[in-house]
Amino acid sequence: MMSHVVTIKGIKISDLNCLEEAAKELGCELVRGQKSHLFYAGSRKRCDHAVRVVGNQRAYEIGVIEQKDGTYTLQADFYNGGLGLVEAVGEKAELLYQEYAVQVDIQAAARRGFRVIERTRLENGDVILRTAN
Amino acid sequence: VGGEMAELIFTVTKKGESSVRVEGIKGGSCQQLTDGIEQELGGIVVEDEPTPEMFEREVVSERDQLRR
Repeated sequence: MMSHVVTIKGIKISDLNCLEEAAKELGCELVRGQKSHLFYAGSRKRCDHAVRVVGNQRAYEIGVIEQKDGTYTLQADFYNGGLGLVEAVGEKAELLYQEYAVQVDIQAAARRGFRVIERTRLENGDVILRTAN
Repeated sequence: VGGEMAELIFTVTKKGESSVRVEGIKGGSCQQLTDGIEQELGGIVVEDEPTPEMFEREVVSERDQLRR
């Protein structure tokens, strides 16, 4: 039975709690208030928060930068695999963006009294999240 | 929603695009369930299609009516 389909495009990061959960799922951590993040050759760039790979201090870090509209952009150096960053969060952090979207969906479901009963990843990389009330 | 067993099934692509499908609910309560979800998911709705089931009448049992 199917009743209604809504498709969302162009996700923006606006919820740090969801970003934090997404980072955890990928073996990373969101460090709130970390004002610079590690780039190439030990250089650092300004940010408002940072995501780092747990257990890999050489890996470049993702800078989380707050925008005027309250959303956040992510920036990182992915050259040479970001010394382990890409392995954790994917090329251009695509796994982190995807996992963020998954966490946002889990929250939206929870607000409606639904909880996750099954999670699967398809061969094409899509994540299917079944929730029930 | 009305005590019905229902599922919300989300698909999240590698680009972080989400779509959500409602299963097991008839009538307008289905629309209620997804109202505002596009804002919550933080994106732009590119598809908002009612499927035939949405136009089926919601069956309200006598017991439910007594409760109301």
